[in-house]
Amino acid sequence: MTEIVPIIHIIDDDDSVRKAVSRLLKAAGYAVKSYATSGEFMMAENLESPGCIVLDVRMPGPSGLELQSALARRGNGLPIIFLTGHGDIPMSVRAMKAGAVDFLTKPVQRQELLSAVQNALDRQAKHLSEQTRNQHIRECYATLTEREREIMAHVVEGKLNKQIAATMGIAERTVKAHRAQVMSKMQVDSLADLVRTASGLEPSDG
Amino acid sequence: MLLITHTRQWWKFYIGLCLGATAAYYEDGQISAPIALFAAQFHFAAVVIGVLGIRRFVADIPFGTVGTMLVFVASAGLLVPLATSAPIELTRWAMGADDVVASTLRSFLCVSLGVVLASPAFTTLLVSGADWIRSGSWQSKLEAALLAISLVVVGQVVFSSPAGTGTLPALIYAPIPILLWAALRFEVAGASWSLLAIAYQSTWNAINDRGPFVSGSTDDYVLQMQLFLLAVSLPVLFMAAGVHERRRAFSLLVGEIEERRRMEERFRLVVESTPNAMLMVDQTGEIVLSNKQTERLFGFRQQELLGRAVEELLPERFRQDHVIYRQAFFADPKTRSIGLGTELFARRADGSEFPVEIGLTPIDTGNGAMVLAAIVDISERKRAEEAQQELVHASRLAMLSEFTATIAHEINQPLGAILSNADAAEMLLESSAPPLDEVRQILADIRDDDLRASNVIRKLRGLLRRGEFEREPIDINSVVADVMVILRAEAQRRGVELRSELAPDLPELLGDKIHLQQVLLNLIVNGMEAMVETTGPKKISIATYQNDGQIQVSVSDTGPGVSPERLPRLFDRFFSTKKEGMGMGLAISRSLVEEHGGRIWAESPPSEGATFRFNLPLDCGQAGSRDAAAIDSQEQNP
Repeated sequence: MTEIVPIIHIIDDDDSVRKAVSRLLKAAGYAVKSYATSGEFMMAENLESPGCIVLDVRMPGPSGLELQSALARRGNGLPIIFLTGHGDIPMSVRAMKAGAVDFLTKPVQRQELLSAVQNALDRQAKHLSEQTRNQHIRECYATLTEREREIMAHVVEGKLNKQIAATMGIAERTVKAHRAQVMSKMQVDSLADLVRTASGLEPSDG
Repeated sequence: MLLITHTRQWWKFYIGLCLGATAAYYEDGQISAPIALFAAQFHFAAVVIGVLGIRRFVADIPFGTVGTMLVFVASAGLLVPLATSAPIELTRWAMGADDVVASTLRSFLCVSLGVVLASPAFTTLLVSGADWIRSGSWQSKLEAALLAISLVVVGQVVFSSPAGTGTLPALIYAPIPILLWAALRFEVAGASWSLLAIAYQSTWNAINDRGPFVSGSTDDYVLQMQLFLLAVSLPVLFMAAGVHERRRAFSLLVGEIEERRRMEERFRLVVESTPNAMLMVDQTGEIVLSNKQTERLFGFRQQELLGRAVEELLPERFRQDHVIYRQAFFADPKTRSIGLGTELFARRADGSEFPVEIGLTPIDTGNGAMVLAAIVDISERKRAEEAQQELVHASRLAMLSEFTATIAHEINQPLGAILSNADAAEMLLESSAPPLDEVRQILADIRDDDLRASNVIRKLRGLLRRGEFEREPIDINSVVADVMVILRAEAQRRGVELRSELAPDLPELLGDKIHLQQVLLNLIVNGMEAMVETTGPKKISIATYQNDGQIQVSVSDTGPGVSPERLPRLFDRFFSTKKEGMGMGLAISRSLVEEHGGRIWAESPPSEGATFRFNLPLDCGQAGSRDAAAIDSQEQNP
């Protein structure tokens, strides 16, 4: 876990709102960057570093929702907190389905905003650590031989050594030896741990 | 005769006179023909002098007034005989005649009498004789006949008595009552003809040696007779002229009175037949004339109104001021209207009040300055105006309700900023070393945002308010700016770019800010709705400029435009190109623009979108335009 300070990106076309929200978040101790338009944000650097986005739904040019889908296409995992002038339920549903962490109505209460931001950052941190773990698992997995991967798949499916041996047409002992090799290469101690690492191998939904 | 004949015809008389005089003197045998002709020149010259004198001074022929008669007697009775006899007598004197004085007197009196008696007689006969015979009443003719008979009888009695029989001299005055009768009843014509008759009778009888004058020498009694006739003729003629003058003056006066009465009657008829209530009021405020409509309008009977103070027709609270207004009006009397643009009420007999407009016209009568007031009950118009205002307001509310969401957004933005700023400031102050400069900056921003929010609310409240037409100086650019504040968010939501090109330094105009905002809102929202299906860039441009004493505002969109056959009907009620449109927006916009004395129209060049324009005259505060608008709005009300 690297100690990188997360950056809060604020995108709002209204100068005074943008200024006020960034002041509030700065006062709460966050690093803040603000942008007047979606385009300005997309051109900015270090969008890959941890942080979150506080985004106004209604803006001239690309709207908040359009920005959200553009980021998704680019595989950017920054969590998004939407700010809206008025509670528009269909819009908020769309935003949440598209992966928004929160949907806040202006004028937003301090606690609401701060907890939403904290929540988003936590989620992202968790997401990041998960990503790191999965990366590690994938690296371990890469060291497995073809035969070992096949055996691991059977193990994770919950088959007994005897069944695996029968299916693969090899000796139960050979299965046992490979299985120990898999456990060691995947750096797990128990079957439960192995099953969990296997889930990390599935393609993440970003 | 020359008196009544045009100068161009005079040569005929000249020739006649020359022939006649020559013949007469020749027959007389005293002088030769050439001298007679020579004398005739003097006669004619004398007559011309006399006639010209009369014609010069007397416009009113024949002898209608004492003045004319005086001029006539002076010229015809003195100048003419003098001019006639003087040259002849002087010639005779030069030739050695010894009776020049007596002869002069004789011929002078002879000519004088002849001219004075004959001229009026023949002139009046020629001028009005035919008329009298044709159209005089039979009573008048009977009286004339009686007069003539009396004259003949009395004349015969007085003048045909045997000569020198010691006839009572008093008897010669007997014709005088008859002459007075003639003068009184038949004026100059009667008097002169009667005098002529008396003269003829006395002369004829004297020639035949009869009558009261015949005694002593011929010269003596001729002189006597001539003096008698002159002494009688002159007063009688003057009296006749005087009677005529009086009668004429009297009939003129009667005619004038009659004419006046007719005029007054006509005036009354006009006042009575106007559809408005009318009152004539004198300087003291007393009602001197009223019509039926006034009775109906106020519930007073005409007799009750006359003599009453006009202030009694006003509610108590207006009375004192009205006295001052009335005095001011009479100090500078000119036609004007009161009640325009102000609330003026009148009061009925039962005490109820109603709104009025009053037109005042000063009238200068024989009895001093008066004012004629036409009073119009404008209750109906007021009601119509109120209904129109209601409609205008309702349509404004309906339009605003369509974008409450975006308006709420406009208010929420600054409110959100305020809240976040306040929170930030609070958190900063909780820190160990609060950055006071930043807190100050935050407070300034909070103030700005608060003003921004209240500005939106103020503009919105103006639009929501149900107000009467108010006239105040307006900067049209600020009206546009206000509308853009309200519509900014809505335009953004619809993806429409709102632009404005405002001419700087536009003069202020008199008008109703809210109503003009409503017109602009209508036009801009219409433009945005027209572009719903537009795929290209959606733009609305609002421009203001000054043009020929007017301010013009245009709203252009980049939508599909309006087809030419729809253009003329665009501002009609219930005409809409939109599926869910009521067709009221543009109709109301039109009536609001017309309320300002302006005009609204649309242009739609092919493939260029639509442009709506309206003109606002800079002097639209004038009453006329407002009246027109008011009438228009009445017509438009269903």
